[in-house]
Amino acid sequence: MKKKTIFGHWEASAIIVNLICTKIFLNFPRMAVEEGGTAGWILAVYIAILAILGFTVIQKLYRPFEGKDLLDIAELAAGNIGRIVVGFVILFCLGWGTVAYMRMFSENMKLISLTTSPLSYVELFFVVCLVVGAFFGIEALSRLHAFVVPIIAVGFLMIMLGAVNYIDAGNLLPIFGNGLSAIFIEGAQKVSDYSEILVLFLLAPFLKKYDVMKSTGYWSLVISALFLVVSVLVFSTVFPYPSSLEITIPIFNVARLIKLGRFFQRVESVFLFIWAASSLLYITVNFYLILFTFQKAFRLDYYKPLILPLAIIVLSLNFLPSDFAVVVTYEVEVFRSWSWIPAFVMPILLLILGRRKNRQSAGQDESKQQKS
Amino acid sequence: MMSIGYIVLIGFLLCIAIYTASFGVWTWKRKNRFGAFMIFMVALIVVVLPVYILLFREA
Repeated sequence: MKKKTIFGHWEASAIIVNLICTKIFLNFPRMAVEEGGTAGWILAVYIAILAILGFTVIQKLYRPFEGKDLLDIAELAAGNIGRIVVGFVILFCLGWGTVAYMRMFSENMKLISLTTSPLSYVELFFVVCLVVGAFFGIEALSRLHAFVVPIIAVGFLMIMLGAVNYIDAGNLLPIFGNGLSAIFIEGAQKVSDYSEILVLFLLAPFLKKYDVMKSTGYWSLVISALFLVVSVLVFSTVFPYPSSLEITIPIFNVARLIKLGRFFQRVESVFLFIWAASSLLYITVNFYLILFTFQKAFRLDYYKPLILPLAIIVLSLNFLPSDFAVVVTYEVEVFRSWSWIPAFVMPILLLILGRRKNRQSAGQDESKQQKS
Repeated sequence: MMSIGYIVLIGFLLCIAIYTASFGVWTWKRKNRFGAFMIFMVALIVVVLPVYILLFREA
């Protein structure tokens, strides 16, 4: 008999928090400063509030669909075509996340520590992790997240606390930075930084109960928001604006500053460890979810025969962009500006359609019973 | 000029494509036509994309 995988909200929260917060180690603090100027931290708070509001609407609509993922709901709402179309959208989002992050992590890793290694060599480590992670499946991945993500969180907070000596609150002035419209109108689309919440709607069958899904969503959004806001706050108080815009890897540069007496120096090695762990978990879980979505959207019996071919496709797609700048441009200016549509608008529309379909079929059942 | 490394790599990719296609055939026989079509697409891309990058992009 096939064993059904179920895990709790600790594991699921660890997955979502890692998916949302990995961008802290890449470019989130700089992106927030680019958008909001010295008020980057206000932008981070604002998009967190928007994401929580969006999730509140979605979880209210989700109540009748306990234990169903987004593909099940798409099928209920629009039949096979709905399932396939939503499958393609999710595959695109996850695929982009995997390919872009893998390239960015590898390029940054090359920049910091593996300076003479070729890019293909660095990416090979990621591919091995993808294949092994996908082979072991979601249960092993969720347990690994539950264990490793708290260690990453402690490492991150250590770096943030270590930078306290370099904080200058005056760097936060003028308080509204680039202006109210840059923060609250143009900045609103940066809620896309929370678009990984989409994964929660794929994990719903593993969480089984509606209450677990709801608490997982809120916990992971609040914890992620806390980390994102702290990262921007520390970055923009340590490095004055606009010189902070020239920093490629913000948290790495914060970590390099830390010197606490004779014994606590070169803290960037902690950063390297948590960064590598976080990125490997991000890419592995994303890749597993690509396989899961592919299997479910196209009704396949197994996903394991697709692990190797899809890993090779992901690796090849990594080499398609001509350079690192192209990936960052597409990631920040296109994907991180518009991914709120598949993450928030698509689930809301599907849930509304699904509820309508439910009501229609309930009405038809009642009329049949009255006739008989 | 093609090196022996490229030939080995393309051979490896062909093996994976054949393995994937066989899964597609199995899915086709189970009457899942669209699923099988998608698997055949994966089998095709797994050869075409790396070969394109190896031979054309590197040049």
